[in-house]
Amino acid sequence: MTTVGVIPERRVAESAVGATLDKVWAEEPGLIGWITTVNHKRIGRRYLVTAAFFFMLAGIEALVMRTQLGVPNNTLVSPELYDQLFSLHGTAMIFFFATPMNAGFGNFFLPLMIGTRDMAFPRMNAISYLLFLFSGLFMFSSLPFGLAPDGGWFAYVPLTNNHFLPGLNLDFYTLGLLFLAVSSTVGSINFIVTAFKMRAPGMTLNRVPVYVWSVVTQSMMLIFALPPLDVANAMLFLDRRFGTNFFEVKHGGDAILWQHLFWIFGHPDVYIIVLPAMGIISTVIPTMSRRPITAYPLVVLATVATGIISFGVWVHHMFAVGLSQVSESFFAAGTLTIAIPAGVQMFAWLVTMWKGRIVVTTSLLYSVGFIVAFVIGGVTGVMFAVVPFDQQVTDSYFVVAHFHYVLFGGAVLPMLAGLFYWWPKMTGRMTSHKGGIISFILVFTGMNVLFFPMHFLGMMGMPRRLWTYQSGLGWDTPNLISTVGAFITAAGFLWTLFVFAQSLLSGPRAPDDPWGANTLEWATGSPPKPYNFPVIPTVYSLNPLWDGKTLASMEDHRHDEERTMTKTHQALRTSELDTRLEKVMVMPEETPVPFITAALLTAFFVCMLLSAYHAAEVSFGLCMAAVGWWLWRRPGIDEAEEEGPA
Amino acid sequence: MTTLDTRTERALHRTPVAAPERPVGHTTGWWGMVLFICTEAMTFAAFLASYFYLRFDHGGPWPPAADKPPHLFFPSIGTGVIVASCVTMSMAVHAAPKGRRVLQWVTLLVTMLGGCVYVAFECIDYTQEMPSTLATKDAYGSLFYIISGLHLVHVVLGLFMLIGLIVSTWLGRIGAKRPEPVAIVSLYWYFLAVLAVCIYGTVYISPYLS
Repeated sequence: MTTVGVIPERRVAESAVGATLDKVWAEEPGLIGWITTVNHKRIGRRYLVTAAFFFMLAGIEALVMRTQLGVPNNTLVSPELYDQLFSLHGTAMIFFFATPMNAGFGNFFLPLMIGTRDMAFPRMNAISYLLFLFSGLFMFSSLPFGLAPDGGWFAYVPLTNNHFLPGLNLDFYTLGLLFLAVSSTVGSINFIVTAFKMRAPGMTLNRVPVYVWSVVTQSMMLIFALPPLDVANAMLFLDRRFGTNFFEVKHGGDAILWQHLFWIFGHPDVYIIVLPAMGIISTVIPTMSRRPITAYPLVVLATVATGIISFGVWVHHMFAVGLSQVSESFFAAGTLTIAIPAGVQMFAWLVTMWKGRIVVTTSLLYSVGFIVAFVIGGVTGVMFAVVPFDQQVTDSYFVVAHFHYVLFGGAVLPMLAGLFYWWPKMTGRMTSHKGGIISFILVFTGMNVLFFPMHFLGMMGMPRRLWTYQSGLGWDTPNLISTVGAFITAAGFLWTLFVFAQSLLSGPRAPDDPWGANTLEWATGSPPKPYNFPVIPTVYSLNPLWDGKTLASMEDHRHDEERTMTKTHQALRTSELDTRLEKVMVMPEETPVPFITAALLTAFFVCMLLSAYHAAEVSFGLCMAAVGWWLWRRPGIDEAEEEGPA
Repeated sequence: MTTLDTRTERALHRTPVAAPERPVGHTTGWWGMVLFICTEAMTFAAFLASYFYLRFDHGGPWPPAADKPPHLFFPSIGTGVIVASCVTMSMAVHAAPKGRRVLQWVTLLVTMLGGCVYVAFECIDYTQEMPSTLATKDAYGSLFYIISGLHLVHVVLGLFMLIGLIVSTWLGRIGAKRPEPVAIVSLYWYFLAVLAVCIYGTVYISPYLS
């Protein structure tokens, strides 16, 4: 193993207990290890790789669409295929890339940042990844059969009921999203409990990193926002398959109900994607400005406020529906209000950079790129809050430009910042500085060339979801420019992939703390050992690596069994607010039960899709039996608890 | 005299004082259940909101002219029984840490029987509603069966949790040494009872209020 740049305090701590912990936390190698692992870092890496893979698939779809739109009267793809491409592109980018990518970062770094050894529910962590993987494959498997969802990513009824879109396309959509929701819900609960109960002693609420706050806020939002989506999807599935009448206007149903339920989820979802990404920015900027973040309490308040207010803005997606003016005004005001917390964070980052000494790294460049792109997307967002303006440009390319600035600028750029920032920690290798800068230039230029002309296209009346168009409408040149931008962006991603591959193969070894960062994850090895911290430190400030005392506490406590926990898989449980030590918890060890349960649930959804309802009942029953077994037998825990009196 | 006010070596390395009071925090399992209940509550909130949305959107008489209002006899008793079963559930929660295993076992069993009565009475009620109200007939029927049916499924889930507790108590896996599982399942059971009242008020009582 590498010995480059080990933090001295960690070296001392490792020499005291490292050898014992290595044995206790040793992992099964090979395929069995792959299936049974509950290591949050391996699961986090898998999340990132799988989400990046789905990003690539959805990105290729986008490239095909842009090629189709590059010139007028193009017939590269058929209209039917085009419908499927844009629907699956949106669905995949939102559900199978953006949210899981954040979950990947959260899985890897949340436990490290709060100074613990694992997530609160390691087996649930394993299943939440497996369900994400299986549901993603479930969803994407529809495309080769020509059965991909084709009702847009928000699948409005009545278009999506079985009179107008018969076939399995929309069943893939409803079942796929219900399937994924299980994974997201389980994952969110896990994040919240981990952040509440497992912070290192001393990490009181005012010392919790902004990133952790943002992941907790996001998880809380998921817990409350996903159910309406699940309810809507369940109703649509029942309507399509079993003839219920939730959305059948003829029989007392209502089509607008779908829109309400969908957007009660849909708008918080924008912040579900963007908040953790902003958390990454709040992590990168202080490190690269060599000073603590400005106005920490305000940034935290703004994060939480965004999460709450985002539940009161959903109707701005429905301004063209013809609701009452009172509700339109209320939600317009709500939408304008949410610009305030976003602005607070924005200024906090600017002031942090202004008052600091900036180190230009790839991650900083991507963070600055994020600020620029997110301000552009935010300004058009405020424009949409104005009802008359919204009614003019709704469902036009102006909307497409807006939400791509928000989601590409507000989520993809921070994720790239996070990847470049944390890459040394995840892989133990440094990336090329020049390569990173070229990656930023290509991606940032590409995205602006790609999305900026769409503002003009929208103003000129080009509707979204258009398959092709005639020449002479003034749309030819902006569309061509946009398509060129798509290829520049794609080249940027290929180059980025190359930079990462080159780093993996021949990059220089990374020290423990290559950036001189302030948060606890950098006090572990690069990459971290399975047990993360040989000695759980006491946290003395918001910037534990800069206060001089936190690292020293790793050395001081190296003979304290409560902090080293060398007997079995163990972790500290501390109180929610002031992190007083409550108990040393025994954590579960490797187990195949999550894999079995996930496989059975997959069988259930596949059977539902194929209308094999009896088989579905059987697989669901077996799945529940597996859950029962899971709860009954807890590897590592029962044995340990039987040893001594509780 | 002045050195006492500076941050001396001793102050830096002072060991933490043992907490004089009992830690007030909850276990990870408790939090997991609370958050699970939150997301479940939101699910039912979305369904109940949809119920009233469609009802007021419909405008005319509710239930619509083609349907009869629901029968009240069995669901009323069932709801009463599941609410009353919270008392025995609470007794089990208090018996567990004291190590009163027999009391814990009996109260859990009675709670489970209460849940079974609820499920049985709901099923009997469905047979009474079936002739006039159908899920495929109109939105009223869809709402009636899907909402109350989803709750029924959750009660069955709660029953399985109780069976787990009862077997565990029998085997001595939970009790004075490990009382948390009883408290955690009790949260879910109370939630089911509250939900039963909300659903009773919505799908059974509200059609009579116009």
